[in-house]
Amino acid sequence: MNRAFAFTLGTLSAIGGFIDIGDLVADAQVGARFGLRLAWVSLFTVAGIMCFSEMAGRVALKTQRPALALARSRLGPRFGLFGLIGSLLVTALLVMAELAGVALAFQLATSVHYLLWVPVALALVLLVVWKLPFEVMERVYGLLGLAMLVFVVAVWQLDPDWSQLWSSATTPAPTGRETWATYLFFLVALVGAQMTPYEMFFFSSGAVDHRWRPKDIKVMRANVIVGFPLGGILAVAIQAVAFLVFFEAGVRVEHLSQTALPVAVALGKIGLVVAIVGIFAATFGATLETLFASSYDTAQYFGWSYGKVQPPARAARFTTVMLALLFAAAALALTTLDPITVTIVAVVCSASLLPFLFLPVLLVANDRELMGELANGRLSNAVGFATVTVSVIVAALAFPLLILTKGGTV
Amino acid sequence: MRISELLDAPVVDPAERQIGVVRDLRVTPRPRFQVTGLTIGQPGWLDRAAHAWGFAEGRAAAPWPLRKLTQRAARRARFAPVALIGSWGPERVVVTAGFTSLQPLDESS
Amino acid sequence: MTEHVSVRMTLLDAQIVDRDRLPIGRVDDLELFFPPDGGPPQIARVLTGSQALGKRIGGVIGRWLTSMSARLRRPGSRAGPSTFDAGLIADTKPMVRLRVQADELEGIAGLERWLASRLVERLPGTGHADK
Repeated sequence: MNRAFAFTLGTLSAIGGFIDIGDLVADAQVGARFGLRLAWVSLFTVAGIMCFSEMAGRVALKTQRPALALARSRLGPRFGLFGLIGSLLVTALLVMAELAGVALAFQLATSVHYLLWVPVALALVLLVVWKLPFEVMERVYGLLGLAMLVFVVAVWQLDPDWSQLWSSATTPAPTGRETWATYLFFLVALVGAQMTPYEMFFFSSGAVDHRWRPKDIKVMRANVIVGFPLGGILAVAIQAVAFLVFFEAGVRVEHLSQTALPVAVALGKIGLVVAIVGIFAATFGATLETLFASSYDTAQYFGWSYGKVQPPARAARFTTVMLALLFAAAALALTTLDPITVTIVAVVCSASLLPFLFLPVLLVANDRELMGELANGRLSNAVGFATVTVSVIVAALAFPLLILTKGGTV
Repeated sequence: MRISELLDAPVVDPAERQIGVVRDLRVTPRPRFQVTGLTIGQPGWLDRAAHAWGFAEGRAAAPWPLRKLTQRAARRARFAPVALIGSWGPERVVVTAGFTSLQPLDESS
Repeated sequence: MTEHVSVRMTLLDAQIVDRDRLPIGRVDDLELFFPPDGGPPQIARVLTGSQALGKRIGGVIGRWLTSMSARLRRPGSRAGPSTFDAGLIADTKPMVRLRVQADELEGIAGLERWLASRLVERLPGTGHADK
């Protein structure tokens, strides 16, 4: 494959991977309630996910295996299993929310209630999983996901008072009507929504699938440097438009459809159409990616053969795990559980699992016998260790804050 | 006997005093995988981590805070060659020499 | 000193692939053989599968994993966990590669075959390779 092309693809999947239902919901809620007072969190999450994606990419280049495949020998089978079960539970919740996001895109387009669209979304996912090669999937949804950039355009169209945005962004404290507990709770939620482990996972297995070798390290790094910051800018833009449209009026984001409303306000029908395409691509792509990522995790923990490179019957256990997760998530979505609540709970739980995913990658990338000249340098270790430390603190705070603030509803 | 039964088993000296726990085994490369000796650490989670994370083995030296954290455990790690092992067993492993006469792990490879 | 390697870093928990690099499982445990002449013990067999893994995990989950996997394996197969001869290992870097094909191993990856024949192969569209 041509290098420039490979670069574009990687960048697209980095942007596409960054934004999913978690960001749509968490960023919109945060924007409506705190303005840009939590926007600084994105600086940390972008730096952290860049650092670990680069690390995971390097491990993949050197060992031809996804980084987390080596986690079990570092954490031991018991901690490994704990992390695996945790991430399967979170995935079921997340996939449910992503399906609701896909259904929402249909609802916005047709005005038919999203619950009726859930089975359609499920059928579409099944069809794509079964029939489309992985690379095509990745490209199509990465490319369509660029439509999300309409949120950035909307910020300008809303003609904001830039000094007001800046002063909000430089005030790292809750607004008058919020408490520190909810501020910290949404901080945890943002970390969980923006540092989704499957981004790192996809980056490294993408490197394995594309048969990148140590000489491709520059392409890999260029992707990281361009892709993830763009994702971060998008996340802040979602916060900004929610701030500009909802904050003054004191509107809280309680329905999925509200996440797209600011774009409609700013750019009218055309903007809304683009936003719908973006939401569809982002949530549909994320459904596939989270599903695959957790089925891969399961297969790798037990050493099973895994899918998409092998036909389904050759990777029967992998396929079974994936189908079971998908159907569980769809069933969950149909119970009329509120997708907003589920998303927030899922991203907070996901934040609490981050140390289990980051630590082994950091350890493996430092193994000089395995990594040779591609072992971690000082920068990776400094940023990586700081990220792990913060993720441990975030993980420890996640559940107490979830209970204390009743999921941010207080 | 399974390797998993041997890992974490207490190691005692001829006087039945515990001198550590089994953290790892060393073997000759394939095809025969003959055991050349045992890596001995001390009880405790930090010591366990020092061995699982590659610091005791000297495979990893960074990130710096983690190396510092596991440094003591890595220094205490010992290697007991197979000739010094009197009896094997999941209940306990008997080493026919005192702790002080065993060589530090980082000098054994 | 002779050349030697750490069991935990090179063998235990490592991915096993067959001759054609098809994943088979993980090295979930290893069986030692003590020569009757009192010579140094050797790694004789590789244990793979949830039955061996469950024992290492321990606790309620470990016991559940062990009994689940024992029950799922086809009646008639031995009651112990699935194993194969350590002599089949052709390479250990960067993973454990065998000198035989997965199908030549008996009683390995039983659940995989069971699910393939009972569930996955019956679903529409599974006949097509994705690549």
